[in-house]
Amino acid sequence: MANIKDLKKKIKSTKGTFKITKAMKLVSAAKLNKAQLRILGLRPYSRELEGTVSTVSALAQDYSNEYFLSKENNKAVVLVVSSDKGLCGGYNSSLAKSVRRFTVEHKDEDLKFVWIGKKVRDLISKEVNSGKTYTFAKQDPTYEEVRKIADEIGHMFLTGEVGKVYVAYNSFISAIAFDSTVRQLLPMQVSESAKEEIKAKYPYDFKYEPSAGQILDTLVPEVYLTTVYTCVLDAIASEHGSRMNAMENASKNSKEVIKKLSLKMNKLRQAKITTELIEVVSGAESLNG
Amino acid sequence: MAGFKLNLYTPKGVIVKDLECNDIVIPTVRGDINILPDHTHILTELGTGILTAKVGTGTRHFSVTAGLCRVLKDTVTILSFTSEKADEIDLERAHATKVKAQDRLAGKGESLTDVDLIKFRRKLERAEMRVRLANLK
Repeated sequence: MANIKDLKKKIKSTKGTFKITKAMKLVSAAKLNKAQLRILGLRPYSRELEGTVSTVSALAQDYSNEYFLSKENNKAVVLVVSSDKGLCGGYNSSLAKSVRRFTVEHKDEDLKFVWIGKKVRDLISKEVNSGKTYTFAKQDPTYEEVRKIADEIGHMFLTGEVGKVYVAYNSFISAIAFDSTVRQLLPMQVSESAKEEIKAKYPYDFKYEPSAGQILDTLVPEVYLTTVYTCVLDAIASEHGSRMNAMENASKNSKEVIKKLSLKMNKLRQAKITTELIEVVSGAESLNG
Repeated sequence: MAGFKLNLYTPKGVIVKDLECNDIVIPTVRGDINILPDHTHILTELGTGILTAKVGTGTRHFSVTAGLCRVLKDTVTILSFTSEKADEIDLERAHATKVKAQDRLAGKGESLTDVDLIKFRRKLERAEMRVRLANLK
């Protein structure tokens, strides 16, 4: 049975853990706030942009862009956006699980993986064809940094080195929820049914200034870049959200442990006092007797 | 007179959403265009410049840089790479950038590569636009 001294030590160390997790939670909450503002600010822009491009590409006759053409190439590259740090609950393991499932589903494709963030890479790099790891100068990537990565991967697609580009990331839903997804970036897809739907919705064509083709030529790469940027920001926001939650739970648990240990210690202390009292009383009794 | 709605989005956030206005002047790559109610559907590339919207009896100004403008039914959607409201402009900074860019383009300092030349021309363009915008307040 544990003695009082041991319990005291344990309580002290748990209190230390509690302080750390609480501080980490506060830091994550602040970071989440910032990241959330960024992603929520970007989303309307990226949604409108994507919507416009799919509308125009459906309406414009005989337009095709390199980004839309599927290639006769079995090779594909998957960009996995995870975190550099752990202690964020199921964030990385859930993404790793999705990626594993994806590799099973796309067995017939020659997949190559490139990484942002090392956690998922460390988890699954032995099972897959692992490639380059991209890093950012600071924790929050700038648009330019993301553009460089997107350009590099886009270049692989445009030169025909790979036939498809996928991205795997955790999409931000709310501070307590995220969704691990793998989606196809290139070639961009507008399904025939979606095209028909758009055509039915807009029975008239737009007036284009300059031409539809020219507008699409500048827009399509922009959509691709914005999508990559959205994915990265999504991943960052969900990382902070996930970490905040994990730390909140850890704080709660350590609080409980402290409570339990204190109770146990107090019981032991009381038992000790009682024993001592009995000894004193019985000693006095024997003297009286 | 029925007005229409203006939405202005940038990657950094929503600048205005569902702003009721009845007259907008939009800078495009081929010069300014004026949008009045019941305008035809157009889709055009934005240029760098000042977007002016008449809201009720007042007027509001925004800066826009490269992007896209879509007029559809009674909604005008502007997707710009960056955008600022007139009251957000730091006039001093804009002046400083303008002078610096002018100096560089005039050949002071290190010699310019082609990429630099374009960069500083754009910088000058933006700085001049900011100064103009700040004076419109």
